[in-house]
Amino acid sequence: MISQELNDKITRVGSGTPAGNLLRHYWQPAALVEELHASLPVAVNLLGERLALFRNDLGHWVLTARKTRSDEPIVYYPNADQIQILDDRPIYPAVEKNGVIFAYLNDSDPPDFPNFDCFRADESHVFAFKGLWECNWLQALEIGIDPAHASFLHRFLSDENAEDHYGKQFRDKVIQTNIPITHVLREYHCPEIDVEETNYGLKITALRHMNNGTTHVRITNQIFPEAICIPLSQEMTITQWHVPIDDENCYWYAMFTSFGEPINKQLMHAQRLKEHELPTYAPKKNRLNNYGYDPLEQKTQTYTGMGMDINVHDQWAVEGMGAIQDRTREHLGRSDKAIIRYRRILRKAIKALEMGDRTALPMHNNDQIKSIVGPLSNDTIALTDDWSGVSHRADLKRRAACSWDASIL
Amino acid sequence: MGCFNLVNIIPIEAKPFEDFVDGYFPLAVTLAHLLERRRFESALMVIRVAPIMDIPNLESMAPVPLHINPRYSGQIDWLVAAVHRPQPRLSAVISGWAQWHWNDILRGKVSRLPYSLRLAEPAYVRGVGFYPGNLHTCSLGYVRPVNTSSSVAVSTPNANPSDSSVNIEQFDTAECLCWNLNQKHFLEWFDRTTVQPWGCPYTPNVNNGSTELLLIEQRCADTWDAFISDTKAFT
Repeated sequence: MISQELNDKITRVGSGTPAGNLLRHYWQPAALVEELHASLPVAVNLLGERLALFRNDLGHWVLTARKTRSDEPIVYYPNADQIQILDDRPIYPAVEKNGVIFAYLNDSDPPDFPNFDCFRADESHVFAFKGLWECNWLQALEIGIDPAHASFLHRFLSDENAEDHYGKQFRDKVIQTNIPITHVLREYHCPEIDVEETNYGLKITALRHMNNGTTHVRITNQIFPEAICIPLSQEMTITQWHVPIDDENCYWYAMFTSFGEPINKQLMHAQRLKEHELPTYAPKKNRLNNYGYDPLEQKTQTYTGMGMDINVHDQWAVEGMGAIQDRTREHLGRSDKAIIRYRRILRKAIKALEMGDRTALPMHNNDQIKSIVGPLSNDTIALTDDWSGVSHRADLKRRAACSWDASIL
Repeated sequence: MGCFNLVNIIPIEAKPFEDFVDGYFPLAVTLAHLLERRRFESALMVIRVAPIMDIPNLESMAPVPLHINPRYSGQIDWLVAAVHRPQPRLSAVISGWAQWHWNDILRGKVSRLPYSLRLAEPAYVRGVGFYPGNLHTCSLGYVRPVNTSSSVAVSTPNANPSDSSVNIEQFDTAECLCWNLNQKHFLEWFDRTTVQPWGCPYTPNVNNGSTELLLIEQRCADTWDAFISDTKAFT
């Protein structure tokens, strides 16, 4: 339970708010490159600001404020000729990174980008997409750093044919085994959770102790302030930001990164367009149609009865909390270790900015930021005594075989 | 030895730790649970930016309300406390320093945190724990002196003079960090003029002859960097 005052402090993102000020010290995903095929400028609603994205006279991407109507919807994609740029407003820098335009909504010098895999992989090995969730960014993030939820929310009552797993979360087999991830999550639902603070955020390890002295090891990451990096399959990871449109809506931006073959972007795009509307990237399953809930499916196939796309499960869980989760009524427990640890970093960073100490923010030391690589993110099964070594070696092996420079030394 | 005028410097067995405490119970109970779980007699620990509540007239073991009221909620920005649990008590004795604020401005900057203080959600803590033994201290209970080398020592006026013969020469006080384990009961508002936190070299004005001190050798500070850094956050 936290007070309404503190909840407001860590959730609201408008200009001049504590959390909004913090997020404005980090590069934010603002648009997909695939959205820029039409003429410019393009409308971008970000951190409560109504902006326009275009190229300046030097050909660089920039954002600035645009004129808005009072009845404008939260997610708004007008034609370029309907966008009126306001003069004398701050011009924010933006850069393109493997399919995503990142913007820095601050007049201070932006930090460098760390050497995360999603940024340094070849363009052929990264696929980017986004989706709309109608809720505050923080609850969208916090579900992603709760390793226990997957055993319930994403429980499949049987294991799908692994041949059909490409591009889908939790449908592959564990590295170097024939054991489906769905089996592990379903049968071992009470993970031991370890959380380690790193120079980029948190490394979160979920250990599911299995039979015969073996342990399933799933390593995920929280990248400060509002991203996660998690395994998708044996060869792919997802780096996913939860970017506020305003206080009550956010986009997830995902950069799928392959350590193996080039990504079949056409297939992954088609898979996701089955579930999303353009140009808003709003999910077709949503509150208005009960997220596709089917009682028969819930009885026989899935825990939620909401289909096989785990994004829908997460969307239902976080939107169901309300536009901004009422944390005056929450009761965190010991399995919420990563959330507890994350909020500590978040509150410390907000406090540091209130005291004028920008240097205390994670990933704000440009001398060190280029040395931030990875992060390690995989699923393995190991002898319990050597789980850490097995996970690390599997990561090194995958990196060594990678066609782009995935080295971490 | 260094140029210090400390009495009874006694190396003790100590272990750095990090952990999560559950909250909702009175803080003194929550921290007693931590000591019990880790088999510590006592600990020096630090908590940062943690939500707190102080619910009027709520029995210590009664369930907390489902909904927090802003009138009794707030946040600890920084808390460093010596904690020990005299047997057979269920709650710990806490003394130390903290900075905090209440959402109810009428509570103002009361100089002490109440005994009924609770963490409003589980919190992450860092600290150094001490194992039970026969060395009597004021703030850490009965801790275990060591015959082998240790990087941690207490300087306590309570010790029997014979205790201080243990390996005192092995402890290099010229290169140590010191924490003032004052005996004021429960947590006081941090005041720069009344506490001297970690310092190297040791500042003589801390040593008034009756103060109990925890000393950590500088050479092991790297190992305990995060803990020491947290304890220095508001100093």
